[in-house]
Amino acid sequence: MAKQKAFYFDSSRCSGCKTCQIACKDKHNLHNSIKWRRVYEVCGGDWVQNKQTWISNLGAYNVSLSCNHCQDPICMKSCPNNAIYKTDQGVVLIDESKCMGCQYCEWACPYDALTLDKENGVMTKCTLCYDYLEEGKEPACVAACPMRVLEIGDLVELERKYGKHANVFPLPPVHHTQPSIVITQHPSAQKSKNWKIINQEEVKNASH
Amino acid sequence: MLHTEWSLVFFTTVSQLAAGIMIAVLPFVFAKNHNSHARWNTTAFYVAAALMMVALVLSFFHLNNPINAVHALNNLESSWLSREILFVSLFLFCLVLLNGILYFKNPGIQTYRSYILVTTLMGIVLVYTMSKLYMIPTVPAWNSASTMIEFYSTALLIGSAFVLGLYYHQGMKTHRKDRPGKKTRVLASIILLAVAVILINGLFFNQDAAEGNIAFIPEPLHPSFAFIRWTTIGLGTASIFYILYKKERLTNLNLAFYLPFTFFLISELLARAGFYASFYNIGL
Repeated sequence: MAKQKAFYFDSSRCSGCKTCQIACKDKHNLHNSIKWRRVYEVCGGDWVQNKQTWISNLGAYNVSLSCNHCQDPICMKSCPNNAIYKTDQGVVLIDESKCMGCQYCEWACPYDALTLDKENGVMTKCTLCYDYLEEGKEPACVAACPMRVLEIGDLVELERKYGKHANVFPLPPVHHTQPSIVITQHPSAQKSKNWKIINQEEVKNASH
Repeated sequence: MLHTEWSLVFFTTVSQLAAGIMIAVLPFVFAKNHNSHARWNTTAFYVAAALMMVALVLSFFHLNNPINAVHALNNLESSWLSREILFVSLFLFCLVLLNGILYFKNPGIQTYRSYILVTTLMGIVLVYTMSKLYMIPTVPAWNSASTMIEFYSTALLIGSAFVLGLYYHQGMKTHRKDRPGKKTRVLASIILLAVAVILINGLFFNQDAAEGNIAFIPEPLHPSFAFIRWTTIGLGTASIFYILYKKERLTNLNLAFYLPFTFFLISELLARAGFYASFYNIGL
């Protein structure tokens, strides 16, 4: 089996400080409107009746996500220009010299990982800091995380160490793209609740 | 609504109109007493070609880096967008060729019919690739047969309404005083069938069947869009009957024959805007 680099994220210990997000922007000198890594603040729960009292079952956790360098990348299959490709390390990259900025990859990606660079008219995304990897260094987001909740490694190794990818809100079912990410759930996330992202303005409209 | 998608609203509707015109002309072209020099259907082919040229230009407004469109056929193997672009080009090429042949040559009836059939086939396949390109597995609102039904019914509805208008407009006095003939009844039936399909599709089959987590639910368009859409469908249908049975009253109002087409075009443009507005992904 070919090598597949992957991120590991421990949601149970993430404080939501967004240092990963800033480190990524800094490393790649990204425009204000572009975020390759985003931290989703998830909240849910309600008041529930317990005999004669009402108790709160509120829960909250953070999910730090960038491109998951999927094993079956739907963005790559969708791109008419063949501008998206996978390296032998399993890193999904964009050849900007071929991209026509049609944003079809952005429509297809269920992780909102691709962002249009309006200045240059091309799509951009996390590169897994492949230049750092070649130098034997960690990606900027991983290196910057003060809580040490992000890790980079071989997907098989990470799965062996931390278990398979869990179905965490707001992630889609894995069968669509086979994402290369391993997540340790926050204890709250294991319960089914009316989860919603509370920093929508920050994460959804980042590129608009 | 997705940002910058107005160009796609017009691009998809205009190219479906071109395909629909070619389909709607077929009953006339394959009629036993068809005159290959009939002015009105030559006009229909000119209009279809002009529409596809406009559509091609419109499609470029969606691109943020149009220079790289030269690579757009690189992924025919797996990208429906690549395939759609191929068939936009083939359909336009066939339309230009058809018009060129009709202008410079005088082909026999069989050759004439063959050219039209091949061109129409390209249009039909174009609508198919266009539908498939939106049926993305990670976009629940689009990933159903409803998308394909919507695109084909739009093509049939506005294409047939335009051809019916053109037939009466350019046929002038000859067709105007006729009772509805077999061919016009065929066109009117296609239009009514398309209206019925649109109603059923809009009311019953346009349900989202999302699986898994959905983080962002789209904001629907203002209800007035839907109101105007369904009102124009109703007005278009009513005007079809008026034209078929009361057309002699329109003696000095040639453009009134395009009234159903105008109503249906507005309706389908609004429907398409609603289609793009319904976009959301599974997951994020």
